[in-house]
Amino acid sequence: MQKPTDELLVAFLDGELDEAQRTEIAAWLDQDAEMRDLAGKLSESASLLRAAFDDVEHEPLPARLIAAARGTTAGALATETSNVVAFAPRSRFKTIITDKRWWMGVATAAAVTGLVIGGGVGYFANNEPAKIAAVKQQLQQAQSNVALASGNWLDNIAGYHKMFVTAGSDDSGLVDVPGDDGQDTRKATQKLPSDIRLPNLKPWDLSYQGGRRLIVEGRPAMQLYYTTGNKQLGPLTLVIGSSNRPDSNATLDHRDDVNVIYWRHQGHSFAIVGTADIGYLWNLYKDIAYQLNNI
Amino acid sequence: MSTTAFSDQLIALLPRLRRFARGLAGSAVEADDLVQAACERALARSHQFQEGTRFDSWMFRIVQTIWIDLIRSRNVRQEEAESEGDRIGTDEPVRRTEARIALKEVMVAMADLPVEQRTALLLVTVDGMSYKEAAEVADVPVGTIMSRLARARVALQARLEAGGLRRSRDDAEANR
Repeated sequence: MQKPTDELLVAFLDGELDEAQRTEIAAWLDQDAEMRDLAGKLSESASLLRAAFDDVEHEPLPARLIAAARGTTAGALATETSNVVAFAPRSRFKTIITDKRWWMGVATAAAVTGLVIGGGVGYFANNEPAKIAAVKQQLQQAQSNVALASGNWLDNIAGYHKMFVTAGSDDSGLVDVPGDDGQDTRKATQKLPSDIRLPNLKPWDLSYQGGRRLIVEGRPAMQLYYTTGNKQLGPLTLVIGSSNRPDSNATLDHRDDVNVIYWRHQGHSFAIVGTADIGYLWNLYKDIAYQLNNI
Repeated sequence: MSTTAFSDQLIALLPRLRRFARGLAGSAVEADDLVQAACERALARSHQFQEGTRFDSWMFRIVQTIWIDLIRSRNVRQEEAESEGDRIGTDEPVRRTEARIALKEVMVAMADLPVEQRTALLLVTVDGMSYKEAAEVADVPVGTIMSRLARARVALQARLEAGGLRRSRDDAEANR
């Protein structure tokens, strides 16, 4: 056999040759020190080349490119507005669902309506009609909660994120599961269905501050509030819950100045909510998605 | 594919497209301009994308086509090749470590290669495509990719080695 060409040697290093060709090149490398030296240098330069471009893939994505991919402009993306539904006081929601295993008793948001309607009938049977208006109001509020917990959940979590940021995690009215010192997210995890695992966000310098329970697409979920010393990332909330819907790709959405990335993965729904640059949030999503694939 | 699904795929691909474009264009700003133009063209021609074919190959091809069109329209290929080495790194903070310097040298050395060889390197060596996939993107036979890649790898190696020798000589002179 003639001495292998550079083409064959490079193809050998790239794993592009068939078995017979690989054997021949390997035999040449065994007997030719000069070729071995060249092969080593070519491999080294290829590694350097990959390393040189490695950072680019991990850089935050510029907003203008996200906007271009969405068929809009960065300015339009930034100012794109959508209503953030005012979040109903959590205490009222709590009066309806008090069981610790709350998702067991309330499989769907519609069931909440059923509970209230049932309560209303009993009320009518035992009290004077003058209280009808009050019961109607209660029913309307419950229905509003149902709407928040299903169709408008993006508005809900974006609105709640803003309340978290404004009020902080010390507001006991906002937090179901406080972020006690040393407890980290363990307590929050205990409130979730057993098959849910939380991603590790410590490498992002994100510190868990507290969380609340909610319903996403009719299923139990938690919204976890994190803060960080990284001003570019800023405080953010992570929503994680169970889902009986098919997997879906990450989707970017906006509610006023709040960015939301949401997706479904293997029976779970997720959302990242924050006012950080879209590129940062997108990179965080990629890291979480990577972790979830390895959990 | 719905517009939203199309955009989702596009966004997921952006890091790879940016890396490819950075290798072609050299500067970060020009690379992002290139990717932005590719996104706009892809959205405008989304109806031309055939379901069942590889979306990433289709997008890489668009980036490459726009870049080649740009070079031709400017008719400054030689000028671009000469000046690219200077432009690379101007968007980045000053690199202080030796490792960074080495990586920068690689990028500078690659920028000296003809665009066809650079494309082959970026698709196969950097992005990890097979020869067949790279050939589809570049719209050339597999054998052409193979020869371009071999020439590129050997030339890159020679440039790096020459750079290392030059640096050693400079260091020696500086220490006299």
